[in-house]
Amino acid sequence: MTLGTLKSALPPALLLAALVALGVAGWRLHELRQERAVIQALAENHDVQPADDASGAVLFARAHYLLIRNRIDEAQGFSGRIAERGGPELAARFHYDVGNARVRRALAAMDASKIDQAIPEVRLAKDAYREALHADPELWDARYNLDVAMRLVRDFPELESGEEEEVKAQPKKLWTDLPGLPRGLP
Amino acid sequence: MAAAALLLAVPASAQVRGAETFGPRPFGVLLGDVFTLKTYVDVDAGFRLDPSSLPKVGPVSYSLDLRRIDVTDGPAPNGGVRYQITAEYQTFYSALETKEEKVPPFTLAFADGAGKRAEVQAGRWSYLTSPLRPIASVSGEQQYGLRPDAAPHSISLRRAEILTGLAGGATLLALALLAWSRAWPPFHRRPARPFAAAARAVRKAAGAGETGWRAAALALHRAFDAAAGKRLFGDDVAAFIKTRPAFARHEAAIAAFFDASRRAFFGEGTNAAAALPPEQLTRLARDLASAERAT
Repeated sequence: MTLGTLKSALPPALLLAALVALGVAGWRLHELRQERAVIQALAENHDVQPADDASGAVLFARAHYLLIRNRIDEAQGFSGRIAERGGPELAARFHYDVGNARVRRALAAMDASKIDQAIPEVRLAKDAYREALHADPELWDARYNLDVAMRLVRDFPELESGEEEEVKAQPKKLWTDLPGLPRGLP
Repeated sequence: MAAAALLLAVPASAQVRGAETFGPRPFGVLLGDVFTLKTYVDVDAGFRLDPSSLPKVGPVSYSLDLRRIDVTDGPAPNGGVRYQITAEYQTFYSALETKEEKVPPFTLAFADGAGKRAEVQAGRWSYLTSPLRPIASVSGEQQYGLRPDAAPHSISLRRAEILTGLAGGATLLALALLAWSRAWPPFHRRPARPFAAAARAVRKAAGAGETGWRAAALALHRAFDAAAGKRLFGDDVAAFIKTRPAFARHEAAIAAFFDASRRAFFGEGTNAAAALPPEQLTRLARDLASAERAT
C-alpha cells in the first residue's frame, strides 16, 4: 500500500462512506417522521395501532390514548416495552398516567356510592405512583398525586412490627377519609 | 447460655471496630425523596464481609424502599479492611405533619478463613419528614384535585434532519473530490490530468476503424506531451518514466504503443490497428489515467 494507491483510492472510499451515512441518516429521519405521524394521529383521537417495533414514545402515546379512555388493562400490556425502549423517564410517565386513570376510576365509583370498588382501585393507583417515582424520583406530579391517593385511602399493613412502634399503636384496620355520603345536591 | 453469648460477643467487638453511618441533612425530607447513607465498617485483617448478609434491594418497610446497595473496600489504619457500604433509599411516607421517621439498621456478618464470625449492626438513621400538602384542602382546589396526566409529546426531528443534512453535504463534497481526482466534468480540463481526458477520447474513437485509431493515438500522444511538458518521442519514454515512476508498471505497454504509432504514422501503409488492437489501446489509456491519479 503505497501513498500513491492510497491517494487514488481515497476519494471513492470517502464517497462510499458518505453515501452509507446518508442512507442511514435518511432512513432514521423517515422512521421518525412516521412515528411522529402516529403520535399525531393518536393525539387527534384516531384509534391507531403502533407497529410491533415502535419506539417507546409511540407506545407511550398509544398507552396514554387508552388510559384517558379508561381502558387500563389494555394499556398495562405496554408497560414492559415502554420501560425497555423508552427508558426510565418515559416508564415513570406511563406509570403516573396509569395511577391517574385508576384514581379517576375510583372517584367515579365513589360518586356512584360503590366504595368497595373504589378502595382496590386507589391501592393499585398507589402502587402505580410508587412505580413511577421509583423509575424517576424527579416526577413531582407523581409525588403530589401519590399523596392525594394516600390520604384518600390510608392503610396500615399488619406486617409492620418491631421497628414501627407508632404504627403498632394504630388500630390495625383500614382507615379512610372517603365520604360516608355520596356528594351531590344537598 | 448468656455467658456463652458474652464470650462470643467480646471477640466480635474487637474484630469489628466501629460502624458509623453518615447521611444527608436529616430534615425536610419529602415523599418520594431519594437519600444515600454511607456506612463505614473497619474490620481486622483476615476478615471478609459476607455478601449474603447485606440487605436486599426492595421494600424495607411499608413506606421505605432500598433502591441500590454498593460495597467497596479499602485499607484501614491498623492493617485491616475498611468497608464502605453505600445504600440508596427512597421514602414513600405521606406525612400529615412533620414527624420523625427511621431507617432500620441491618446486620453485617464478617468471617475469616478459620470460620470465625463477627456481626455488627449498622445503617441506622432517622430524619424528619414534611408533608407536601396541608390537611385542609387548598382554597380554590377541588377536594381530590389531581395533577394532570403526563401527555405524550411529539418527537423532535431536528437532530435527525441536521444529521441527514450533514450526511448530504458530506456526500456532495466526496462526490466533488472524486470528480476532481478523476478529472470528471466540471474538472475535465484539469491540466494535471491529461490522461483522464485522453482516456475518454480514446474510448470514443479507438473502435472507429483506421481513422478512429489514428485520432485516438493522437489524443494519447497529446496526453504524453502534456504530462512530459514537451513533445515526447519513443526514445524519450525511458527518461520520462524515470521522472514519473507511477507509470513504470506500464512501461512495456507504453513502448509497444510508441512502436505501433511510429509504424502507423511513418510506416509504409501498414495496418496500425493490427499491431496494437483498439481494445489494448483503450486499456492502456485507462491504465495510464488510473496511474496518473496516484502521482
